[in-house]
Amino acid sequence: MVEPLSPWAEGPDDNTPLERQLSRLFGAVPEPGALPDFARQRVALGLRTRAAHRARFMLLRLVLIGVVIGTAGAATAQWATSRLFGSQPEIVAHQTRTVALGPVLVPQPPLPQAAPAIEVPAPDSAAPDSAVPGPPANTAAAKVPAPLPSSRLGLEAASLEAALSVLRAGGSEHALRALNAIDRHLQDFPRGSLELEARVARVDALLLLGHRQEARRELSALPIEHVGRKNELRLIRAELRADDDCRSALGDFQVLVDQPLPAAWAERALFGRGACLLKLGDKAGADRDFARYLSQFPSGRFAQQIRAQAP
Amino acid sequence: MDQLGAAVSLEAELDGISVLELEAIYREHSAAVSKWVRRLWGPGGVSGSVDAEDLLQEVFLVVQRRLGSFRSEAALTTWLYGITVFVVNGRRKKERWRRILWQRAEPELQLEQEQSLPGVAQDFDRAEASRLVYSVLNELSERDRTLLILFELERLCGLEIAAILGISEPNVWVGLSRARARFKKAFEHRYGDFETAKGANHVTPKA
Repeated sequence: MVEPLSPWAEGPDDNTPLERQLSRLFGAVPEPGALPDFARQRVALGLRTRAAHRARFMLLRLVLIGVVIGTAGAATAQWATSRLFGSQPEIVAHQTRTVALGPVLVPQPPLPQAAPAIEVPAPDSAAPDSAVPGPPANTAAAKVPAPLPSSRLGLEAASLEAALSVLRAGGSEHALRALNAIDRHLQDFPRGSLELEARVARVDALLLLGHRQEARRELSALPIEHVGRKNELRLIRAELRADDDCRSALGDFQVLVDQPLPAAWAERALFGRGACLLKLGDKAGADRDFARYLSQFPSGRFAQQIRAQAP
Repeated sequence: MDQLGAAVSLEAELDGISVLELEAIYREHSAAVSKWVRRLWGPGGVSGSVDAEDLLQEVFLVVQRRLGSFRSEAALTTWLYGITVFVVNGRRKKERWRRILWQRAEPELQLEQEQSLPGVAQDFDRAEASRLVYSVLNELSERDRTLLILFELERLCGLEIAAILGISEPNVWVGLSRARARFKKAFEHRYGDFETAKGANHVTPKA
């Protein structure tokens, strides 16, 4: 270790000319003076101004940081949500829409058989009034992304989607497989998030199989108001009830006739109400409905029967 | 060196709070800091008060920025001196680059080689002595220059220099010893060989 030194100004380290020279030289260097008061006051003023600017800049910077953090936080939360729950919300939404679009995919139920004094199509021949033919099987299912297996909701959605894809294939054979798949689904996911949709699909499968009474019981137990297809299901329920309970069917027909509906449903609702009124002995009411039907749907599917029954 | 650090409460936070304390520190220490600035810069460049003011403001801006991190572990003056060294050396580096980029002459920092020096026997003009010393100091590295200024001109002890520069005391002595050797070499190179100079009391510039 080097021994502590003494400043040259206090004396040379040795007696060499250079050391002596440096000793005198350093000893002669004057001590600098401080800045005068007025100069330091100018600096103080400048500091205050800079501090004020800095405070404003800091506020702006904090706001900017807040915005950046907020944006990043929202993005992170979205990402974390999608990581935790997978893409189920999208899948569920997609499948809910799929189920809600049932009229497109599921055949319409037959007309009530018990329309008095008027021959109505047999239950099994009711399919012709389907608004739109069923789509090709499995196309929707093929487009749905596979859910994450770790998510119960994803599994439930996948299970229901599998049953619906069979149901969309149409035909009694597929309908039976679909019914079994739906029943398994309801057992696997009791009180699941998609229970209502599954039960609606079960009604569709039962109707395709021609199990009208069971479909009627299923529909009666369904909280129709909470299902997306409530008007259509109400119409189906009314037509099924009209088989032997025109009084309760009349209430549903009444609700339907009083609100705007697609033409195919409006036609069925008006004819159904007329038929039920006739069955209940209100011939005048029935005549009014039939006359209204003929004026609104002169070439409707029931027009010929109504004209044939007319005196 | 004054030990005024404990006198000022520095349990400070940033910005608004520190502004008041900064004013107190400025009142107490701005005169000393302005001296240090002039000492560390040397006779050229900050001889005018405008440049010294600029550097003084820069020092206290750094003080304001770092005030929240000061925890009274060191004396306030030591802390301020460290910041002053940091600011002055930083500005010197900037100026050096500026000179390199713009090829700017620096007459105030370089004595002309042809200039003959006064005899040592004569009384040194104090300003001239200052210019002589700094002309050699400015040829050294920033570290050597700073060490020599703090020790030889400011006459700070090894412990204080160690605290200011953030190095150990043994390193201060080792560094000083080497810095002195390099200073002597640079001095001889610039102003001639003293052994062969005419008379022990006369300095002759090297041809």
